[in-house]
Formats: sequence, structure tokens, C-alpha cells
Amino acid sequence: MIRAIVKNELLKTVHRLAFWVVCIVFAFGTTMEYVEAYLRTLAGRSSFTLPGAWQQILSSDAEPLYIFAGVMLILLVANEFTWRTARQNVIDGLSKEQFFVGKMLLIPFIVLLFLGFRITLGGALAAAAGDGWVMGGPAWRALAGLTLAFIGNLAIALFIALAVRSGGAAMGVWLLYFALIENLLAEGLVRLSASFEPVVKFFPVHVFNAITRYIQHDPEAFQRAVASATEHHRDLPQIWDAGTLWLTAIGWVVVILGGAFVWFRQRDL
Amino acid sequence: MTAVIETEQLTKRFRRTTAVDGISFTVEQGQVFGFLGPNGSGKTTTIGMLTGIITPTAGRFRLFGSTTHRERVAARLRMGATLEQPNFYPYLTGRNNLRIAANVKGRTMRDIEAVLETVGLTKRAKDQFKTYSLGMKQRLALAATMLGDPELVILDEPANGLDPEGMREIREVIGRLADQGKTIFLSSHLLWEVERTCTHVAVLQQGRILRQASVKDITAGSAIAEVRGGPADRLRAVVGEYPGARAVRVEQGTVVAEVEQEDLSDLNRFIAERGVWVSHLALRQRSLEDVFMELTGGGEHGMGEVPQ
Repeated sequence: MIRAIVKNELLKTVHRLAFWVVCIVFAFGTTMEYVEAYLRTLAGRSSFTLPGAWQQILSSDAEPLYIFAGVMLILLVANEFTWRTARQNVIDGLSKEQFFVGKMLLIPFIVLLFLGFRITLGGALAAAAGDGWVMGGPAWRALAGLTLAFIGNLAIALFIALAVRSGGAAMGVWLLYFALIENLLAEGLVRLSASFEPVVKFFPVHVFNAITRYIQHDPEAFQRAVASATEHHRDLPQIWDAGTLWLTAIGWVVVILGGAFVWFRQRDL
Repeated sequence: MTAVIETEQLTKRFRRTTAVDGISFTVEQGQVFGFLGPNGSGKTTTIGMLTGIITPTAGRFRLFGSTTHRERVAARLRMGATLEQPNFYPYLTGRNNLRIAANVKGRTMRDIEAVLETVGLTKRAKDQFKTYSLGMKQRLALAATMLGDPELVILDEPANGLDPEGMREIREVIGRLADQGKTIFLSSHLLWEVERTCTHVAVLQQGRILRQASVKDITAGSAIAEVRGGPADRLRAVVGEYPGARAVRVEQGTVVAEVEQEDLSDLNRFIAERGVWVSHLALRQRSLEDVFMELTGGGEHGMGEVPQ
């Protein structure tokens, strides 16, 4: 049955105009970003070369990546309820569990698509601008962190899409949560009492942001950040204990996907 | 006979509303089972529970004797169903929409072409679903239902929104499926549609089954007299006084009553003696509509009338 589920999700996705629109807009934006960095490097005004460029490719500016991907996932999931095709899929013989698996499989598909494009293009241009492809341990760890954060953010988008069941409304809730709600909640709690400070850093988007920071994975980059902060009299950067951070991030992914499944399963279609 | 669908005290409550209230029925192999009731009587909710899109609040059901969740999921692959309006991906072609169902049911492109041919959609199969007329959408839904050669076919209001020609086509398809020995579970609020199509029937009202039997048994019994002449209310009152009349009601200006004897001369005399002159007096066979009116107390809302 898993083969049928994959075939169907692929069929639904590749024929969807909105999917290609989001892909093209994302590809255009990413290409512009890296081509500009590449050209600036050739002109001697920047150093977009490997391994240093991994920090830009795998860490900074990940929000547009999440937003594009989240919007795409919501479009692919929530409209199943607007068109009532979710119920038709179940009538056709899928169990609710199998339908959920189909939607969950969209997460690795989108991660591979978006991250693959970003890494291949960014890495290739940075390699061409410098001395070829170099990818050390910190870059691999940062890639793993970004992948997990990406999956986590998409899990939140999936949860919202399954709960709200309407494309427009789900996108609104997702963007609000991602950009505003969690930050406001965290800030409100900290203002209420400073004792909440150790708690709010465990909020999901906070955790996913922390695991995406390059200095979390590269001790040299961390030392440079500390030196820079000292020199400019800024607060010293903080990083998590790696084990705690990974466990927390994985835990959130499991909890969010589990919650989405339970919620979806208990509701009628 | 093998039971294909068995329900026991099946119940669905939506907050304070009980949509389906402890219904129990059995559909046996080869039956064309009509699930009859007015709009809002719980027909679609019952089908929703059978197809797995609605979780029952209480009670249980078996499809092909399945008892566990896993068995039920497997049993659903042996059935084809449509529920309310056809639900397909508007941006996909008719053919690609059928591919979705075919992949789940393990069917090939050849099967898809065969059902497209059966419902007469081959020429429009490459067009997007959103460009289809309602009749074409219904036919595509029927094609998806028939895909996989199901042993059990569940059709929820299949004639909804169709013109008389479309209704005739649907009846023919149902007839063909029945001839192939398939079990058909047909929900409808159109009494005449069920009477023409079904072998067995369950009458549902406000989430409860009022009666279930074969159509033959349920329509057997006393004859029905139709009387017209003078004001309907006055005529109804007079017929109501007649000792041999039961379940007297007015249907579109005609007084209808269940009578014990088929000779209507005595009734004619009885009415005339009370100063009412009859312009039409006829005996007809008891229809499903008559049974339904008796069961529901007459004139429940939303029931389809027999086309004139």
C-alpha cells in the first residue's frame, strides 16, 4: 500500500499548479541570492567560498526556506478537506492512518526538494568561486540540524493544516505562529516572571532556531562569535548542550507529528 | 445467505444531536437494499460510518464479517462507494482522478478505461474535473465506485441533481450491477426510486429504523383507495368515518386511504349518503410511499414525490 500512497501523493502534487508556482518563486529567490554572492566573490567584494559559505547556506536566512515549504505543505494538505477529497480517499479504500502517512511523506519530499536545491546550487557556486567542494564535520552537523529544524517546522505546518482544514486560514495561523505567536507567548511569560526564561527556550520554534545556528555546530565559528561579541561589548552568544538540543528537537518532532495524528484520527472527515 | 453488512445498535451523536440512534440491520449478499428516509434522517451518517469517514459513538458494524480494524480496512477494498456529491481533485483530469482510486484498489489503466467506457466518459477523460457538468461528475463518481469490481456497492443519493435521463442511466447501471450479483446499498429520499430499484428496504426517520423488509413484503397487504370530489378536507373527514378505511390522508388534493376490501362501491355509497359527490374513485396497489406515510404518521418533510 505504501507504493500506492507515494504514487498518489506524487500524482496529486506534480499536477498542482500552486506547487510549481511555489517551487519557481523559491528557486528564483535562492538563485538570485547565491548568484549575487558568487558574482561579488568574483569581483573580490565577498568571500562566498567553501567551507566558509556553508554558514550562509546551512544556517542563516533559513526562515524563507521554512515559509515557502510550509505554505506548500499547507496547500497540499488543507485543500484535501476543502475539496473533500480526504474523505474520498478513505472511501476509495485508504485507512485514515494510511492517508496520514501520505501527508507525512510530503515532509521528507519537500525537505529534499528545497534543501537539495539550496545546497546543490549554493554549494556549487561557492565551490566554483573558490577552491572546490569542501565539506567538513561542522557543515555536516549544521546540515543535520537544518534538516531536523526543517522537518520540525513542517510538522507544525502539517498539524495546523490538519487541524484548521482550510488552506487560507491554515496559512494564516501557520505564519502567525511561526513569526509571532510563539515569540509573543515567550516574551509575555518572561515578563510575567523571569523564572519562565529557562522554560521558553524549550518552545518548539525556539528549539528549531537554536539547532539551525551554525555556531552550535562549529566550535571555531563559536569562538569567533565570542571574540566578536567581546570586542563589541555585546552579550556573549550562548549555545545549547548538543545532546539536550538534539533530543529536544527530535522530541518535539515526535510530539507534534503524534499530536497531529491523534487529532486527525479522532475527527470525522 | 451471507451477511455483507451487519450493524448492531450503531449510533452517532454530534454534540447534542443524535444523527443515528442505535440502528441495527443486515444486508445480505445479492440484495439491492434501499435505505430510505427524509433529508436529515441519518442515511449519509450511517454510510459515513460504514465507509470509515465517521467514527461511531456507540454500537458496531461488520463488513464481510470483519471484526477488527485491520479486517475492516481490508474489507473496504471489496466495496465501492459514493457519498453525497462527487469529491474529486478539480485540477486533475477525470482519468487521473480515477488513477488515485485505482492505485489504492490495485487496479490498472485498463480497468480505468473500462469503467470510463461504462459510464460514457472516455471522450472527456482528459479534461479537468472542474470542467465537468454535475451529471458528468456523478458518472465519474460511479466510475470510481465500480473500479475494482467491488462486491458491495454503496450509493448515497445517486440520482441527486440528475435530469430524468441521468436518473434513468443510473437506474440502468444499478440494474446491471444487480444482475451481476453484486450487493447494492442504496440510500435515497426518493421513494419511487427505491421502489423501482430495490429488493429490500429499511425506512429511517430521525436516526431510527422504523421498519425493514423486502419491498414485496412491505408493500403487500391492504389496497389503497384514491378519492377526489369536493373540498379535500370535507372528503377526508367523511372517508375517515368509513369503518373499513385506515391511514386516511390527503396527497396533492386526493384523499388516500387504506381499505380492507377491493370493492369500492360500498365506500362510494357511504360518501354519497353524507352528501359528498365523488368525481374520482380508484383502487391502486399499495406503494412504498403509502407504507412510508403510514410509518411516519404521514407527510414527513423532504421526501421525494412520484413524478407525474
